[in-house]
Amino acid sequence: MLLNRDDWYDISRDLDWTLSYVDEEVAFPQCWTGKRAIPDEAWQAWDEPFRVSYRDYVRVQREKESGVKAVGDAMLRAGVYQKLDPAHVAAAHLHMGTTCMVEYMAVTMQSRFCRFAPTPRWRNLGVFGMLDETRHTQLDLRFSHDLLRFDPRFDWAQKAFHTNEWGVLAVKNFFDDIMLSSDCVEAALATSLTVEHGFTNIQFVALAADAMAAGDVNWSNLLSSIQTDEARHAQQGFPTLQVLMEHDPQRAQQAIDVAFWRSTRLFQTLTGPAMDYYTPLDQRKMSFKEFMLEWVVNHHERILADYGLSKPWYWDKFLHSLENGHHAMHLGLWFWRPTLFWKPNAGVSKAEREWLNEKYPTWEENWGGYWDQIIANINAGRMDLTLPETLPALCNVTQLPLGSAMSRHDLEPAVSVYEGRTYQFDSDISKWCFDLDPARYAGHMNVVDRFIAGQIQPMSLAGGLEWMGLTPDVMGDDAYGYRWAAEYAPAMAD
Amino acid sequence: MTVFDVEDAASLEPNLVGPVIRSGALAEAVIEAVADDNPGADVFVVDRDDYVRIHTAQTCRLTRASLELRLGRPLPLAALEMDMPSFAGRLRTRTEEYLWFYQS
Ligand SMILES: [Fe+2]
Ligand SMILES: [Fe+2]
Repeated sequence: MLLNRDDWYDISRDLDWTLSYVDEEVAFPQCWTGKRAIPDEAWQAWDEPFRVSYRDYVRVQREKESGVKAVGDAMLRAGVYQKLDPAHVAAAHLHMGTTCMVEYMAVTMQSRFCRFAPTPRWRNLGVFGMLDETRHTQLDLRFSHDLLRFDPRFDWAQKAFHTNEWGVLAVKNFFDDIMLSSDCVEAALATSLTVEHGFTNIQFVALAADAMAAGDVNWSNLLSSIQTDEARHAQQGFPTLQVLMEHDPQRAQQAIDVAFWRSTRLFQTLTGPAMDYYTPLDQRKMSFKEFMLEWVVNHHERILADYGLSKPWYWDKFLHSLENGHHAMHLGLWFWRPTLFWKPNAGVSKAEREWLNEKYPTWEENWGGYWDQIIANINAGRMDLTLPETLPALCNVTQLPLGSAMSRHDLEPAVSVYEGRTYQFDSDISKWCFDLDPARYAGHMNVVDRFIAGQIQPMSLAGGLEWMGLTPDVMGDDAYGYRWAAEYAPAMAD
Repeated sequence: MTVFDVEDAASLEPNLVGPVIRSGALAEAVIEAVADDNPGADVFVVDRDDYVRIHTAQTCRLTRASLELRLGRPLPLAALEMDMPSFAGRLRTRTEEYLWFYQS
């Protein structure tokens, strides 16, 4: 008779050995375990919510893979990609360029769990997480490879992280920190809990729903299939949080509050514009803010409260940012479109603008005037005025432009001086992150710091674009070739 | 017990727990099985076309027996994962039963 998994699981997950040839600290150095003062016995309370056996894992993953492959092959045969709306496809270019290599970074992080996590139970689950992230990397590469013949932008799935494109550098900066350089405990809090349990749902489930409505069955199905792995391996974060809440709750609160803000800013850059501007109007399920309320404010925050965590101290500012940050980022992305490797849709036709004002009552007041000026310049044939000549000052934590976190009225400087150097931030929340642990961020030069230091030559926008690796075949421009602005032209207004 | 179709998830009570399933036959079977396994509880269904939230308040139980009955074929609970990109609440997974819950 075959044993039931429940009968042998408790024994198998505690398989461990007593070290005799090396010291514990040598085999499991603090810098990678992150145990600090938490006693060894404490980890016996580490109990995974989502049990996995290798046998089940292989069977289930095999089914997932054949499902994704079958859908992908059918959609390729049907030529679905070529029929998609040009505004929507930018969301897929943006995703593959900024996410594929993050999946690969996650392989390294999960491998660290396999090797250095403070309990064999967690090390065991890290193996599955590592295989999951290998799968995600390969899925993104295969998807992009299949579509490369239709658009060279898919090359950026592999290429992006070998360039200095500023948005990619912002993404890389965050994940270098919380995936590649964090010990197991901190990675569990910042990545497993905050990014994987909280924020990736916004891209991989909610945006996937928009993509499905837009007819992009292949990409949507790939995203939600990936997230079925994330939902499982993100659970590695909760038993770790449980142990921390017993022994060092303040560390948990702080690590999660920092990661929560940095994730907010990142998803305002990636998912916010994709949902509220790139998804064609009649295919939008909900606004970015509504999806964030569903997935992050309700779904994610409720379980953190269940473990005894408080909301971040900056909660009201976060809600204010939720009204504004991604609109500011979108305006900046579109204006600095030659610095992108995708073609952003302006998304401010009259009908789209009505939708934006309905979803965000302060939209017109904050952002309408800027767009009116851009529209007037387009209709006057002054395209030169719609394009940048310089680069925006960037935050030394998020790497995103100053002025892009809140409304257009929230522009008071946030500055810290550390060891003689002045650092600037997009908000007092980012400044708070820096001040908690300045050595962690200090010394790094953002794109504009490097520009001013003369590391980017020639010192012009053209020099900057070349340094960022942007070639004419992928360089960003308006998704619809500015045709949407015509309805605002004076001749049509009367 | 009643199954409610809900449009605005934000207006729901904050203690809802349970799976989020990709739309399709499995989601339909999970709705029915959750209704079977949580007698007396209201089942809240939020259908976003591509995914469906299937939730009850405070605890949500799903057994393999009910799921297989409603699906009409054998399906180990571990295979639920194939179409479950997310879930709300804490989770306890055993061969015959999944339980989503909040402690407080
Ligand atoms: Fe992943
Ligand atoms: Fe992951």
